[in-house]
Amino acid sequence: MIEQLEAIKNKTLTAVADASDVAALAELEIAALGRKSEFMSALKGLGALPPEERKAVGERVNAIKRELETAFAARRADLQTSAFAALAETEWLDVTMPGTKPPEGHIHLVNQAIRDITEIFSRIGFYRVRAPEVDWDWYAFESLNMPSDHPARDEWETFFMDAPENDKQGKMVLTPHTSNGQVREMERRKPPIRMIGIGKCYRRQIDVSHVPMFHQFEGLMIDKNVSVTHLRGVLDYFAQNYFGPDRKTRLRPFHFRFTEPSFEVDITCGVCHGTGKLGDGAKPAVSESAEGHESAPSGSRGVERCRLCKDGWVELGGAGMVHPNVLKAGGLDPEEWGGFAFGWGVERTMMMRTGLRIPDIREIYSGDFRFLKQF
Amino acid sequence: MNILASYNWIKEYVRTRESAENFARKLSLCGPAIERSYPQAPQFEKMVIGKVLGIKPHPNADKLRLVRVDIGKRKIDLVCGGVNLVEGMKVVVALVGSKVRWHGQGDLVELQPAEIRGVKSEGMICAANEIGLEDAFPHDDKEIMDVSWLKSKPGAALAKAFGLDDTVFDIEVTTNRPDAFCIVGLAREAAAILGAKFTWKEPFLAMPAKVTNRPELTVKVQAPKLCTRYQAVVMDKIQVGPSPWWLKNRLRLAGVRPINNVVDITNYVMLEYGQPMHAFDYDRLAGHGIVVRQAKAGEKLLLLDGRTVDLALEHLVIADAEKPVAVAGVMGGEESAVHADTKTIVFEAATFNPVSVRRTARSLNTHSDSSLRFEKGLPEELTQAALARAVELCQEAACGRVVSEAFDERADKTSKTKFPFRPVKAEALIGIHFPRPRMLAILKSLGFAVGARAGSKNDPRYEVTVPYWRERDIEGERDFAEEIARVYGYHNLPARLPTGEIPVELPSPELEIEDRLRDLMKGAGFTETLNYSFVSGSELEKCGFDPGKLLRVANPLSVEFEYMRPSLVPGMLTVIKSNEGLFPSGRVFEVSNVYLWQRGPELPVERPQFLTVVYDSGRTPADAERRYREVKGVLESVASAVGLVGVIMERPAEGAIWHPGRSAAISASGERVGAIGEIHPGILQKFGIDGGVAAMELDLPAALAAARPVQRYQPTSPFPPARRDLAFVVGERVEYASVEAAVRGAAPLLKEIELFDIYRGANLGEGKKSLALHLTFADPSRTLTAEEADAAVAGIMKSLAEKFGAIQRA
Repeated sequence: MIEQLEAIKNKTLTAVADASDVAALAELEIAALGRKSEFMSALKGLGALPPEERKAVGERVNAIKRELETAFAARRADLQTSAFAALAETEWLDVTMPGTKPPEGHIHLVNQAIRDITEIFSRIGFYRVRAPEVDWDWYAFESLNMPSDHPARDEWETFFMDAPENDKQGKMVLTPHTSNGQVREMERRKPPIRMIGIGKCYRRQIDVSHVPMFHQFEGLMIDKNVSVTHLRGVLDYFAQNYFGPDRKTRLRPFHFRFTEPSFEVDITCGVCHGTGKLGDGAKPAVSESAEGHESAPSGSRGVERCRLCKDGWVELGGAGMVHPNVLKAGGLDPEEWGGFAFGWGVERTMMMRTGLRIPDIREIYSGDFRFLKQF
Repeated sequence: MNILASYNWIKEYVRTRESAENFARKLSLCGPAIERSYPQAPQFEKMVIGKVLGIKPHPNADKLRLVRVDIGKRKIDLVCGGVNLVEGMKVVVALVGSKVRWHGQGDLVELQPAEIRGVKSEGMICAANEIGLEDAFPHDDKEIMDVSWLKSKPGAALAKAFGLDDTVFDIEVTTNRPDAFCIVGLAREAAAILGAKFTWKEPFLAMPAKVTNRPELTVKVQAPKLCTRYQAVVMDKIQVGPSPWWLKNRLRLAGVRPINNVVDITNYVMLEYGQPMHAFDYDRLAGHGIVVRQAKAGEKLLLLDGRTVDLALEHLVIADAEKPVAVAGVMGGEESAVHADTKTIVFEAATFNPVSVRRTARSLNTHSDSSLRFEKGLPEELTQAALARAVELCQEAACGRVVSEAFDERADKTSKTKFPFRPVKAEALIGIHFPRPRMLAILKSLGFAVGARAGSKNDPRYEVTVPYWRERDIEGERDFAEEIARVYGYHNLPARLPTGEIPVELPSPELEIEDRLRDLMKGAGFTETLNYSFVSGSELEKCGFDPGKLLRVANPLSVEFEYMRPSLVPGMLTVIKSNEGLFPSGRVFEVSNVYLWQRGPELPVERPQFLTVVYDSGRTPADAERRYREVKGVLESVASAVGLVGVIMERPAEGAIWHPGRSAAISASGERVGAIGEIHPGILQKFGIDGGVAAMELDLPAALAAARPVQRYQPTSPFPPARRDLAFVVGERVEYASVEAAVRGAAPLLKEIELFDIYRGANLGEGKKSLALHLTFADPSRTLTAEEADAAVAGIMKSLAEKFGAIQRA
């Protein structure tokens, strides 16, 4: 019996050495050591041996089996190593094939911007709200220190609704700015207020740079001891997070009825980096137009005046310290509470960040998939 | 509102040597914003005044002559074709290197040394249209510009000689500051901002000496609320003619067309002082009377711009004894205006109610430089100085003399406006500490009068008197802080993040869900569109809405934008229609408000809606089924994201937009939350959409109310589940939901069920479909045997056979 097993072993070892790949070896292993193998059937003879021999033979049999198993394992490792070494030759893919696309969806450009803006302000404690789009004259104008027939109202090309007037709150209008949310927020909760109101606004104009529906974001902070320096701090924080850490803002005097003082907010130009000039060899931001009487400030050639900005600054939007009359309209005592507000166009701010020069702003609301699928 | 202002003119009233560029920058940061600067001199570079010494015929050309010209340092020879050339004439000489417009046409051309018909010429003698001055100096073709009237010597630079060594600023003045909407006001601002001396002195009307034959004039104000001051003066010995160049030039640079000396003076005063004026021809005023009154119905007036307007009671007019002669504050009448033969004039300087002027200008659709200023509100105190200035200029430019008293009709003088000023309060608003004297000095530099100190040393209080030109815009103490801060420079203030309590505010569930839906849809391959909130009546009608019941814009931009949308569907169908040519199939969504209005004096309810659509050109029932299952898949994803439970479909969906056989209302937790299905083919037809559209609409507030977004832990089982597949044939109209209910009812150990195939084919027979299910069975306490699983499937099949006549497929 031992002889028989030895013979099987030798035959098998030769076959193992000859096995050309892992699959052949696996087949061989089943054939050599599997349940139906010659080796296993030979083992059936073991039970027939007298008990005194059985132990010695059994040990011998196990040794042979282990020897075979070791040989299989070693050969398998060898074969795998050489198979992996030859992978570059044996297996291949055209890596330049186009991919099969996962579903590709798109969030509207404006909603992406709204999300970015909300996120930045939320880090400094401003929570997002949304005021009505169809609102009373009271919230859109009157409570903002703009009595009816005030000429300041002319600046808002207002849509009126074909609806009955409210006795106390006047006409129903489409709000021309998100500032209607100011007094509403003062009514909704007690100070401190740090609101970022984002929503749709409407003005009666449509051309390449105006759409009758657009979005604004309205910041309102009401607290004790709020000063102009805090407004500057918040605006810088936003500008640096949204436009880039090297950007700065500045305030210039302006006039709005609902803030006092009021400001126009400028930001350093991203094209000329706030210098107002494009250095040697740089191309002007916008091609030179013939009609301007402007001339380059210095005679040296190659230094052009930046066409995107005024002396290194670009207008961002309006801001100001909340007018005492607005606080009173919101039920707050101006001697106790104060604050600031700003309200800017989402579309304009977004286009300034990305440098998207959308030549016709109406495209944003055209629903044209060729536009929507770009973002 | 913007004004064009000459820097030289401003500098008449403020002593400064700032370059135009620095002036513009500093003023913009602290006061009115200078939006553009137009330097004037560069266009006249290398142009000088020359004096013609001699004229000789050109040897080779009949129409040209050789001219010897003295240009100061030397004498040069030029070729010129000007027909009006005479010896001794002063002319404009453009030298080599200057830029001119040949014969007033084409682009500017740089002059090169030239030989004209064999004779060298070092430059040219210019016609007015060659240097851009034809408006001020109209001339015949071939006439060169005669500037003999200039005092300048030969060789003088043209820009200097013409007062054009100047820069014109285009300045935006905010509407609350009509006082700064003039040269003197800008100079006052500049003086405060630059710390320079403001040199303007208010002129006073000198009373006439004894005049014989004093012309009669009566002035009556019958509407003292609408005309709060009316001043007038009569001047005779007027010689109407063109204004001198300096006056014309100032108007020109300000963008105002010179007319004649008298009219030009009124415009000059308006630009300089901000007070509009008017001049009447005294002899054309019937009855030599002026009455300020409301117009009578039926009265008409021929205006200076050539239009005749119909007047009504709400219009304030200046009338003579018989008829209106001017619309107050808006525009004068043609008939009573100053004409070439006018000898005696009445100068008017008045104050009109801003609201009245604004309404009148609007209702007559006549806006003028005058109405623009009155609308902003002008102080009564301004008329005196303006009238005095006009008389002064008139005596200089039109030889007139004052021959009447200064008529002055005004309501009672109001007392001066005063407010307390607390520096501590101002500092708190601005956010930095200021030295007290600095604060007070800024106020004084702007014309405010500061009273003596009251209050404690640490918290003093001053009484500040507002100058008359600021009475309308200064409304309280806070304005003083503003004036101080802006003159100091907002750009000089530090930036600090606010300290203080951060308000606790939970995120709005509606805004949150909207954002989550966007993320989910983007991941699923859908494109978001944002449509206008407006829809047209025709879009609404196509979708079965009655526009008469909806919220309408009273002043829409066009019929496209007339109604506030009650549904996102009409806009979406328009978008599909406009895209289907280039994109024959698509997956789109929108999350926006709709406006539901009860037609009362209440605001509409603005409800955020979610609409998603799948469209393509397929028209078979199988296509419809595929599209439906896609939007249904979205609903299932949304339901699990939002926490909607117990979602059921009840057919059909309400509303004309839905296909009655292929749509359903969606409910969750017993509440109606939306609708789903195929858009009605009749509606698609009306929109011109060729294929099919499946849609799903969710009312987000309802969905949020129905949501149970509580997450609970479910213990994981150590026992493996048993899986079986089952396919069977049922009738076409057997609903899956009833099949699923039967399956679940028949097998308590069933954990999961998934429909993985629907098959129809001739081998099944007409009106039959095969459904194939993955079934998963499990017991939380033990491993199921194969026999138990098989028995459960058999039980299911038995139940399906009983309920639906289902036949198992092999």
